[in-house]
Amino acid sequence: MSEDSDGILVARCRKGDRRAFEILVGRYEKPVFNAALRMLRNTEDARDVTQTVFLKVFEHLDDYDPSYRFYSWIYRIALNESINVLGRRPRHDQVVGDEVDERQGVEDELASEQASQRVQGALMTIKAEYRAVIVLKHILDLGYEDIGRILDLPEKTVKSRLFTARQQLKEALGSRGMT
Amino acid sequence: MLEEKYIELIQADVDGELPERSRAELSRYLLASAEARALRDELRRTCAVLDSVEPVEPPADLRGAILSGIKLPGAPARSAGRARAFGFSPQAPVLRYAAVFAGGLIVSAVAFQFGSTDRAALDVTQVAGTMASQDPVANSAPVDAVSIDLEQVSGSVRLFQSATMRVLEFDLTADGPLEVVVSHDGQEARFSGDGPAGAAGSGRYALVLNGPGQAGSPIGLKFIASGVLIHEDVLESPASE
Repeated sequence: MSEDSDGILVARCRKGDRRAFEILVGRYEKPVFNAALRMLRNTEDARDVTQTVFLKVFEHLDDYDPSYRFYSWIYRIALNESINVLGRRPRHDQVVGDEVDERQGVEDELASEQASQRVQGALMTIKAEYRAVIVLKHILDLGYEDIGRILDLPEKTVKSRLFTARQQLKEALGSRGMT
Repeated sequence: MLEEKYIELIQADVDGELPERSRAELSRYLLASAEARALRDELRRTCAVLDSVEPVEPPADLRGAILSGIKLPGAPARSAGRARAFGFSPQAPVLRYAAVFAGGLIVSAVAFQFGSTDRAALDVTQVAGTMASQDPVANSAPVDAVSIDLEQVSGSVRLFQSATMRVLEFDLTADGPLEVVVSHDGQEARFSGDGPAGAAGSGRYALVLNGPGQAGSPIGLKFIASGVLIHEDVLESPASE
């Protein structure tokens, strides 16, 4: 059962199979949470986004087109929800640089926390649309084609954004002594 | 100044997406251009830093919170606002419980295995009541359910209800000895089981409560590992069918 494809699991969910949905949650909870965390730099917001994403997935299961990859769909929802949260934040909260998120208890436990915090700080200095391609490429490990599908962008634009984002991050990381 | 075409090829190379047909062309360009080589090295460094960010484990109670907000026809979700730390581990083998009840049950309690005629796996010598000859509610939807995803135990417990009885279905995996205490209307039933090493195959086990006047009253669940209470929960059903 655990090796069922996403499409099969979605089909089972549509028939009311709770366990199939639980498997999907188990499969995508971590990448969705991490994508939201890197977009938002706030554990509580990432948690809320992850819950919202799965709720929306569940509510719109009937709208899911099986000819598309399920992960493209769920990651698109995750990024859109994250960007919505960013839009609701007060402007002065949108660029937080190296400020410490005191609620990041989960990440605080990691041995590489300092480096991750600096990378996260650098990520927060670039625009959300650039951060999104970085998250899809480096956090979710997706290729140009998938990124284009998720962001609804031509592959050429994906490459261009990725390059610009990396150039900006190079500067931000450099100022933090990381490159 | 590097040509845009070569910038794109350099980035594709760093990302492992360089088309084979462009490889030789890029190699020649890199040999000829120190600036191109510098860009490639710089991109590699930046990507290495970004790739070094370790994924973070989601909060332990997130999965349970997600699932508690979902209502599928197959099982009703929990009411909002409960603090929960549940989930479900579908890959793990199912723990087979030997049903050992503490004495003093007033209700008639019956243990049986769904979908199987092999009941030898169950130790029912101390069970009050009789074995169920058939599964009266297997095709109905549960009226309440909990999923558990703790270090010591994971799985689910679902409550089914028919006009004459209520059935608790256990589908649990434990990494060691585990005791489950089912309390209802002032009485207790205790299940004990070993970990996966003692389990053979998969199956679901159930406790049937078919005494009178039970519908509507809550059923308490306690999960005890190594003598320590690791989790408590309550299953509830409608007051009447």
